[in-house]
Amino acid sequence: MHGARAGLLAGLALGLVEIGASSVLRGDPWLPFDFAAAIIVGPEALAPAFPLAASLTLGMVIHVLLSFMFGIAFVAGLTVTFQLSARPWLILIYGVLFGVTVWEVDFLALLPLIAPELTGRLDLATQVWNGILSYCLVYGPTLAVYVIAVRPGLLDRWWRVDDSEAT
Amino acid sequence: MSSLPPIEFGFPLGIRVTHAFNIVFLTLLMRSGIEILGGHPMLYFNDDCRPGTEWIRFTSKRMFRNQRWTAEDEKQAYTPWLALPGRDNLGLGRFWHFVAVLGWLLTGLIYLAVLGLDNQWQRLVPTSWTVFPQAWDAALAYLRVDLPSPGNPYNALQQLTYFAVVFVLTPLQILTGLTMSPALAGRFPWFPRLFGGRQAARSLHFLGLMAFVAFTVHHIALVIAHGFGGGLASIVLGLAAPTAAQQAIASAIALTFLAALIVLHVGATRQSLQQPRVVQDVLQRIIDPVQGRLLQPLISRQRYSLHDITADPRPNGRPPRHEDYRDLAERGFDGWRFEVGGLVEQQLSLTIDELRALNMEHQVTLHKCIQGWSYVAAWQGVPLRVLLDRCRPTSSGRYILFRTFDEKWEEPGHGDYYGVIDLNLARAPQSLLAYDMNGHPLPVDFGAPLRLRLETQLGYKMVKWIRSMELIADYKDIGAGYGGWRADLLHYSRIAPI
Repeated sequence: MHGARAGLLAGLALGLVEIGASSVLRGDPWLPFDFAAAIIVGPEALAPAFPLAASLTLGMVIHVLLSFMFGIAFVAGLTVTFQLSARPWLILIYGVLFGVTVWEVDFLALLPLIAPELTGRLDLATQVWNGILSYCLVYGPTLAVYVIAVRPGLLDRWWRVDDSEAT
Repeated sequence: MSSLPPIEFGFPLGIRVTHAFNIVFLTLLMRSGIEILGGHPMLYFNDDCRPGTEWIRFTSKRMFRNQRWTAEDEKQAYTPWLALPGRDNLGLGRFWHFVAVLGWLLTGLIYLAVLGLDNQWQRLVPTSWTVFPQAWDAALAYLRVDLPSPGNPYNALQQLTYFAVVFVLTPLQILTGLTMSPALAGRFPWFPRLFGGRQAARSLHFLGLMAFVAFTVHHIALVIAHGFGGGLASIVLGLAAPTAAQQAIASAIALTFLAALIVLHVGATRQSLQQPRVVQDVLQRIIDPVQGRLLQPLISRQRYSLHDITADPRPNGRPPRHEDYRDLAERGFDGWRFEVGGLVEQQLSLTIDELRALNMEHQVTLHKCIQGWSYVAAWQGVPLRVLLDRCRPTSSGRYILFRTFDEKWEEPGHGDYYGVIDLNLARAPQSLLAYDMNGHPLPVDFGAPLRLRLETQLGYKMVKWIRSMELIADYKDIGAGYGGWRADLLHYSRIAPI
C-alpha cells in the first residue's frame, strides 16, 4: 500500500516536471502524454491530428500504472533488504539509483523492444530533462522522501529499545 | 585507437568459456557473500563497531536495553532464495565463498591470459586519451535512446566501463576481501589501513559487490539495447554476424546454461541445508590446504596504541551459568587451578597468581570476529610458548586442546565448548593465555579467568572461560572430530586465518 502511495506521489511529481519541461523545451505541455499513449497506439499518437483527450486519458492511465508499479517495486525492494529504517541520506541515494535504473531499463532496454519506432523521436534536450534527470532527481527522490516521511523510526538507538516498543 | 587493427565483434573460445564460468562463480560469490553479511548485518567505517556507528544495516532486529544481548543475537538469517546456503549458516557460507573465490581467480587468470595472448586486450584497454570525449559522445547518444557508433569493437563508454570492471573493480574486490584475513592483517597491519581499516575495507567490499550487481543490470540492459540476439550469439557462439538461425541456437544454449546454473545453485543450497556435514567435508578438503599453506604460517606483528582501544566493545557468547563457575567468579577465581596435562613430560597445576608470576606479555591488537565486527583491546597474559617450555610436550603431542567452563547452555546437548590449535600456532608471537583486558582482570563477559589470544586467527578460535589445556596427538576422537565446538556444530573450519 505504501509502495502504491509512494508511486502515485512520485508519478504526480514526475508528471508535473515533465509537463513543465515540455512546455519550455518544445512548447507543448502534453507531449509526455502523447509519448505515453504512443506506447499503446503507436507513433500516430504523436501526430497533431490525434485527439488530445485520448492522448491525455491514455497517457495518464499508463503513467499512473507505471508509477504505481515502480513505487511498489521500490518499497518492496527496501522492505526485503531491511532498508526501510536506513539513514535518510542512504534512502535518497537509493531513490536516485532507482530512478537511473528505471530510466535505463525503460528507455534503453524496453522501449526499443516494445516501441522501436519511438526511439528516433526523442531529441537530446527532451531526453535529458524529461528523461534521466526527471527520473533521477524527481521520481526516485520523491519515492525516497515518502519512505523517509512515513517509515517507523527504527534506526535510532536500536540497541537500547524498551520491551514495550519492540512488541 | 584508429591505428590498431580492427577486432571482430565475435569472441574467441577462451573469452566465451571464461565469461560463462565468470557468471557461475560471481553468482556463487554474491549469494555466499550475502550469507556472510548475515553474520553481522551492519557495515561501518570504523574498527570499533560500536552500536549506532554503522552506516547501513541489513536487519530489522532491535536489542532491549533491559535484557542481556551479545553479538550472536544480532545475526540475521537470510532466506535460502537469496543467500547460499541461507538460514544462518555462516560456516558453510564461508566455505562456499572461498571455493568460489578460488574458481573465480582461476577463471580471471585464464581470461587475462587469453586477453594477452590474442589482441583481445584492445577490446578493453584504451590506448588514447580521445576515449574520454568519445565516451561523452556515446553517453549523449544513449541519452537520446540512440546507439553510439561502434568502436573497436566496443564504443568508448563500453570500453571504459569494461576496463574499470576488469582492472579496477575486480582487484579492489580481491584486495578488500584479503583484508578480512586476520593472518594477513596481523602480519601486515598497514594493509587494511590502505583502505581506511578493516571495517572500511569490509564496507568497500560490499560496495564492490553492489557495483558488480549494478554493472550486471546495466550490462544486460545495454546488450538488449544493442540487439540481444546478436550479442548473445556473439558471446555464446563467437559469431560476428550471426544469422537468425544461429541466434536461435545461441538462445537455446544460453537458456540451457541458465537452467544448469539454477540447478547448480538449487543443488548447492539444498545439499548444504540437508547434508551440511557432507558439504563441509568436501569444501574443507579444498579450502583448508590452501589457507593452511598460504595464511596459517603468518605471524602477527600488530602494535596498536592504547589510544586505539575501543570503549565498551561487543561481548560475544553467553558466559557459563553453572554454579561451579559462578562460585569461582564471585570469589575472583581464588583457589582455582589451571591444569596443563596430556602428552607432556611435566604436568602443571597453576593458580591465577602463579600464572601472573610467570613471564608476562602485553599487546594491543584488533579482535576480528568471524561474524565481521571488530574491536581494539589491550591484552596481558602468559605466552603459550612459556607454558609449553615448562610442560615440555612429548614428541607425539601435536595439538593443544583447551577445555572450558562453558557448558553452552544456550545450545544444550552438544557438550562443553572446546577448541584445538596447532602447536606451531601456540608457539607463535602474540599467542597468549590472557588474564587481563585493558589493564583489568578479564571480565566474565570476555572469558574470565583465562582466554586465548591468537592474533592471526578469527575470534572463535580464541577460546574463552578456559578450564584446562591438554597436549594431544590428534583431535579426531574429541567431540565430532573437527577440532572445535564450532567446527563440530556450526561447520566452521578448524583453522581460521581468514
